[in-house]
Amino acid sequence: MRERSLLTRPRLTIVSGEPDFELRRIAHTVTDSVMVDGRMELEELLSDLLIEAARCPEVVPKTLDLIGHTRTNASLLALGQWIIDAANPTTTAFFRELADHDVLPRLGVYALRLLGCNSAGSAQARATIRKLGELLGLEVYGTKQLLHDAHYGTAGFRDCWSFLLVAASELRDEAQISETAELAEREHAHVAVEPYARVLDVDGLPAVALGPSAIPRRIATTQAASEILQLVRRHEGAVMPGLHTVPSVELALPAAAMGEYYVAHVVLGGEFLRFYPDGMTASGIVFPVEDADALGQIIATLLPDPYVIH
Amino acid sequence: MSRLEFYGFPAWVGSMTGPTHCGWWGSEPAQVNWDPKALIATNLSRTPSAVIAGKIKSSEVEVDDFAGHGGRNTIGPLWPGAAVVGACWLRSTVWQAIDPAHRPPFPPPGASGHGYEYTTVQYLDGEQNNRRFYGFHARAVSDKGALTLVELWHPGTGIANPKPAGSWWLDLSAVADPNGPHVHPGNTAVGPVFLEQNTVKSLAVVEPKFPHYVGTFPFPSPSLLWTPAKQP
Repeated sequence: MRERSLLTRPRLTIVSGEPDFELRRIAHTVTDSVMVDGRMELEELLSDLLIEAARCPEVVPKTLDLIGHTRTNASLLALGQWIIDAANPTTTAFFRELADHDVLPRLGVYALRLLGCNSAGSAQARATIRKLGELLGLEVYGTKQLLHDAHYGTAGFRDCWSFLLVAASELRDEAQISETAELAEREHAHVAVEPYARVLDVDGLPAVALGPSAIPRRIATTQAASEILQLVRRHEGAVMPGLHTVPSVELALPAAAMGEYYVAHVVLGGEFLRFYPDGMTASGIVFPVEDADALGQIIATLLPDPYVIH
Repeated sequence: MSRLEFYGFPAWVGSMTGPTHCGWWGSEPAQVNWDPKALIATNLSRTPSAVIAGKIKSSEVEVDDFAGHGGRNTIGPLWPGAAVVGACWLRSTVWQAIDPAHRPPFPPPGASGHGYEYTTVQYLDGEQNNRRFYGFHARAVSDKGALTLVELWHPGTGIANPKPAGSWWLDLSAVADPNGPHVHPGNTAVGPVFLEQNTVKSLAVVEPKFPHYVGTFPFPSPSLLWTPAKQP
């Protein structure tokens, strides 16, 4: 049973079936590799494997390795006549359908690897890898190097050469960092990190309507808000990296508009207040509190919020 | 306690004599007239991870791990087919043992940062077992409770760049190398600090550029942040 054997291996190795000496040598090297001539043959193979997986007691976690030459100026991997290009709707529809039917996880596949020379060697190729990663919800790999038969053994692509691969998650990080850098250079947007300490500008904080909160909340009066802000060292704001410190209390400071508030979280026993000048979904900027005890005394006088759930 | 220090150098590989053995120059080959005697012989498999795997003793470590394997080396790690121009982070004692006539200067010539900005500290046993710290140029601005407001420079820019990369509230007693130098607001506000890998992951800083003409990469590099895809 070929399908049963494929399901119990840590690599599912699919080689492009075109008449090519190099690819045939790889297929010959890798035990239980399968040659396919395009998208339709790959689909048929996966269907057969799904049927077998339903009967198979042990489906081994595995990578799905697609091996072929890269074609076009964009260095896109080809399986037979099928060029894997996320800009092609047919290709994205194929992978979206795999995801919709949970095909790859049911076969034990936890990563897809596009193994062809420079399969991550162009912007379009990297965009394809990122897109497939998003569609499938799996890690997808390509490479910025040349690959050949010496990189393969009987079990498939050899682990010792895994440093040649680049992951979709890395490419996303790179893309985000370059976007952030570009934005910063153009000064079109606030970036999360600024060279010097941030200054607390209350009027620059987002005013929000209060919804349910899992954190105990206290509503400040205008007078109490003023007293609280006087305790804050307003020129010493910065990000606190690491684990997101759980706040003990959420303070709602009244904004100018009726029913809207500026939110501040009390962290580290009241030694710091965390504000959200970059929006409530950002990580927040913490400011030291001059006198944590005085802050605690003010908070003790504030009314709890009826919306709170805890 | 095994506390290893690695110094970063630009590296041009000039010879390969085995799958992990190579010789590299610490400056552009033309500058040393392609002199084979100036090649620094290195076995790229003698790394901290090899110690942790029980393959070698800590005294046998020569270089940091490859960037994709948790280190900062970007040459190698397997020949042929791997990168031949990049960074080599050499163990400090190995660097000191090189013939002075061919020992590459540290910090590298033209460096825009202090030596400690090109230094990594790796523990292999003891209380700090397998903890890893990266050198930064820092200025302590103020403190509150256990936290210090610290300005940090991108590694390798502490001399040339007057502007820090960012400011962060850090608990230095928890995230800085306990056996390394510290900064405090006041007289010792400016200087080196070695920060732990997990903390550095949350900072938006970039790697030193080795060689100087390469692009800018986030630090730690994405490959350092790479973890194998979760298996079901």
